[in-house]
Amino acid sequence: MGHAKSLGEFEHLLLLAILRQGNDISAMDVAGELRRRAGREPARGTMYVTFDRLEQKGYLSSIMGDPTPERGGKAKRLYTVTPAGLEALKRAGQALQAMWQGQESLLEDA
Amino acid sequence: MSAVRLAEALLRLATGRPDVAEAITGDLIATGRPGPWIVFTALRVGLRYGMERTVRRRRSRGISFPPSRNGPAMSLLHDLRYALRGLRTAPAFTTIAVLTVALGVGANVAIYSLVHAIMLTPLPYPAPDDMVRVWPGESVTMGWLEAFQDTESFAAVAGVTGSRATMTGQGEPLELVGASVTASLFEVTGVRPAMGRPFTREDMRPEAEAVIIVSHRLWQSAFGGDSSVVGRTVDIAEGNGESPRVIGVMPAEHVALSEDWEFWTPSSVDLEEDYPFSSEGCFCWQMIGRLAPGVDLASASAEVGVLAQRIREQSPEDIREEALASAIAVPLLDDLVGDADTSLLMLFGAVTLVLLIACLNVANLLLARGESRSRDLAIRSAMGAGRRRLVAQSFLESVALGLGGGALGVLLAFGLVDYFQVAVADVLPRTGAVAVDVPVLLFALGVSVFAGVFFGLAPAIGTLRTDPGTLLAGRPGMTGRRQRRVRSVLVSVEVGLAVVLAIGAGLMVRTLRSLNDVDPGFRTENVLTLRLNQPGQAYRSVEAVDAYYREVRERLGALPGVQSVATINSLPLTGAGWGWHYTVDGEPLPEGTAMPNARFRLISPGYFRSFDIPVLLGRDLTEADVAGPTEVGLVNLSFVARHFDSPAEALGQTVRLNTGHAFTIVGVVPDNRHRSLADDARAEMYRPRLFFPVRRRYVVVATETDPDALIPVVRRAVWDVDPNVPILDVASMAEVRRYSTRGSQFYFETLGLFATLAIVLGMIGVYGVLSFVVNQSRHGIGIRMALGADGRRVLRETVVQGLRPVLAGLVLGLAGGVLASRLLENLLFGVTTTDVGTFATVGVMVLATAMVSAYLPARKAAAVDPMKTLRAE
Repeated sequence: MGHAKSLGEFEHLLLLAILRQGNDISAMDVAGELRRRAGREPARGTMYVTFDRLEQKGYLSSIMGDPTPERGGKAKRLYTVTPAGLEALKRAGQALQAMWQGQESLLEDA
Repeated sequence: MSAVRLAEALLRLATGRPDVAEAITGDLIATGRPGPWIVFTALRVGLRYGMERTVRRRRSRGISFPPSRNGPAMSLLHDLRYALRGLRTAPAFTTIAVLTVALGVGANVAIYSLVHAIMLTPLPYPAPDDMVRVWPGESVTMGWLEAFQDTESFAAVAGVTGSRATMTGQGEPLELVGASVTASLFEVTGVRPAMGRPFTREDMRPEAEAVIIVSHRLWQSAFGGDSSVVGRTVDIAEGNGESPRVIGVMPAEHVALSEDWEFWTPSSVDLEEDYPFSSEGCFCWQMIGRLAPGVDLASASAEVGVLAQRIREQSPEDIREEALASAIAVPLLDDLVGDADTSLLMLFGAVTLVLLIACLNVANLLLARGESRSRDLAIRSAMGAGRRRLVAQSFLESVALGLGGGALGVLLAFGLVDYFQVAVADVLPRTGAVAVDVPVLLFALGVSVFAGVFFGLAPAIGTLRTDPGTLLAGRPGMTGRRQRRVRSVLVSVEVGLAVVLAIGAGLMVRTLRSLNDVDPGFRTENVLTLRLNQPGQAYRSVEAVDAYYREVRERLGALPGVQSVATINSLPLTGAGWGWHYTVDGEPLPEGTAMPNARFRLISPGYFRSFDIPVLLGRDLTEADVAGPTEVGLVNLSFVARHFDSPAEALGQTVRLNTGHAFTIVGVVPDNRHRSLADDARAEMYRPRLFFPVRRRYVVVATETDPDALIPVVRRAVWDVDPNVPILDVASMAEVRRYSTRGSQFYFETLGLFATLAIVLGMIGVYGVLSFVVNQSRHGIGIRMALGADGRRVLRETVVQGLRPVLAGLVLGLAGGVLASRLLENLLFGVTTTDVGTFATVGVMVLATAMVSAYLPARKAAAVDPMKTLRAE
């Protein structure tokens, strides 16, 4: 596992999706952002499990929101990226950037 | 709603965190997708959590993931993957097989959900097995209750009788359903109010203050969950009409006896009296008891008999000799379920047949597929796969099919259960808790695995018998002829089972038709009916109640389009009504015999006119009869036949009720089917007045045209008389009649659905086998046609060949039908269990559909081009 707390690709995307939306974001909003920006349609199970894993790693914190009628009176869980999460994102972003240097032409449309 | 609860429970189990489960459930609900999808998705999410946990656990223990490739678990995983791949490469086969299993399992699980909720779920009380229903043989009076309270067998006994009350002061007046009970009920059930106190014996005194305990539901809906309601007087009027004080609120989860009850009131009994056993002025309680610790049902039941015998010795007029045999105690659950268990087991038997047919069909498909797979098997075997491993693989494939079909079947069951919840609400008891819940899902899992193993048997045996040498040489494992034979037998059995189901459905069709053809003896077209129940506070006296109903009749009678209006205490075809013990003056009762009993109807003048019932002899009732003081009544022909030689003889005779009140017979009316369409007429008496106020009555309005059009004006007219009287159960008599046959309708619909499924599956089997046969004998047919055989003849012969297993199945099914239809006996009406017409119709229908299924492959046979076949040689 090399770095004990390195970010997986999906974890990376998920944290960014939360950051992009501001804090206190629900799973559904994160899914929407991933779909719009990254064209990803993750399985629900994968998404929820990843949220939990990130929370256990200390990269995310969550609170329960208010229940609403369209959710059958069930509360939402709202996520926020923690300072440790931001740190991890930064590390992962830097590593990626370093690796991408000189390869930017690949990103241009073929 | 139950789907959402199930989904959340699954998620809670998988995540181990209620808040996470709630949030995910909310997300799923917010998608607006249907219940089954929510459950299915929750299951998938739950599985993903399970996987994640396994990975984490293994990682924390330093175990690599995925696990080693050599263990037995791994080889199972490998085989499973192999089986799934095999299924994927044959999508048409897999789809048909999965759908077939889904239909079988779905129907099975849905009916099991009924069986589980009604028969297997224990009553919601502490030590529910100790609760019994006591039948002392005669009507339960306070005397009986006291006598049983003192026995060794019972820790406590209680009397319970259903009751209705009117609630005003909350918008439209409402009628509440509840119960009048003795104080010991809470001791018997072991359920106490969540707030406030239970009843005491003092509450039962006639002079005691009126008190009431309300259900958690009523507390929420009518009193907004306000706990200060305990101690307050409320506008709920039952019986004598005093506004009672709330002394308790029942818990939400546990109810005392019925989920439908909104209130409990103490039965008012003069406790100082020497409690009589005779049913005079009785409460007509049901007696519920709790067995004393260590006492079993058999000895308690024996003591009930002994006690009844002793009471008969003391006062023979209070209990009839023949009633002694029915003095017993039965488990309360059995009593509540009643004879519904026969009907349920019949339905369960029917769905089991459907499942069996589905399994046979899949077995058939697997055999057909075995053909193309045998070479693959041979190669694997030659490469060193042991026989056991090959059989295991064969089973694994069929179990995977079973589980796939089962999962789909559970979704189907959700839909069916939704239908049942509406359809059986009044047909079967205890249907409130019918749901696809965890025990039902476990059952579904069991059935799916069983189905997979069951239909996997034939191909697995085929694999066992396979010799890799012959396989590799290119010959199929099971020779064409043997396979044809096995598959024909499967088809015969399938058809046989389908015929049994079709006969059941056919008999129910005949029953429904007979019921619809019955002439009940009164008019059911263009009659509007409604029920009124006056609040007791305002209507204490007989006169006040009668005056109210007279005014209602007058107002409604004056409406345009109304022919006549009347009232009665119990509407025909609703199964309800009073019985009353009586004697006829001048006809002394033989020593030691109990009084005869007849149905008692409290009617108003105009009743017979409104229902088009002719008065055969004597006269109809008039308004003067209602006011008295002369007491008159009419009787029906069954009553006349019981006591007199002719109707004329009955006129002028005096009938004396056991309460001492007497009346003179002034008219005779024909018998009619008041209780139900299927019931024979009984002795009946019709009276215009009674010595106590009867507030709850049905109003019948005979109309010139469509009665529904009059509902708004009728409502307005009734509320013009008094806006505080709730108007209930508004329905045309035609609807009441239809509703009275809902049980038969339900059994017909369910059996009809199962029979249709069974026949369709059976015909798929016929088609499949014949296609196989035609493919096999293509060569022979070709040669015959080259030698000059006529295509039409080939067609005819192939159809006949295809019908052979069908005929065998038909004979089997008709014979089975004779045995199985006995299970339906108490659901049938106007048709015998061995009705020749039904059996013949089913036979012809099955043959006709079989011919169509055989025709398609036969046409292929007739179209064989002899040149092509010969060239292929």
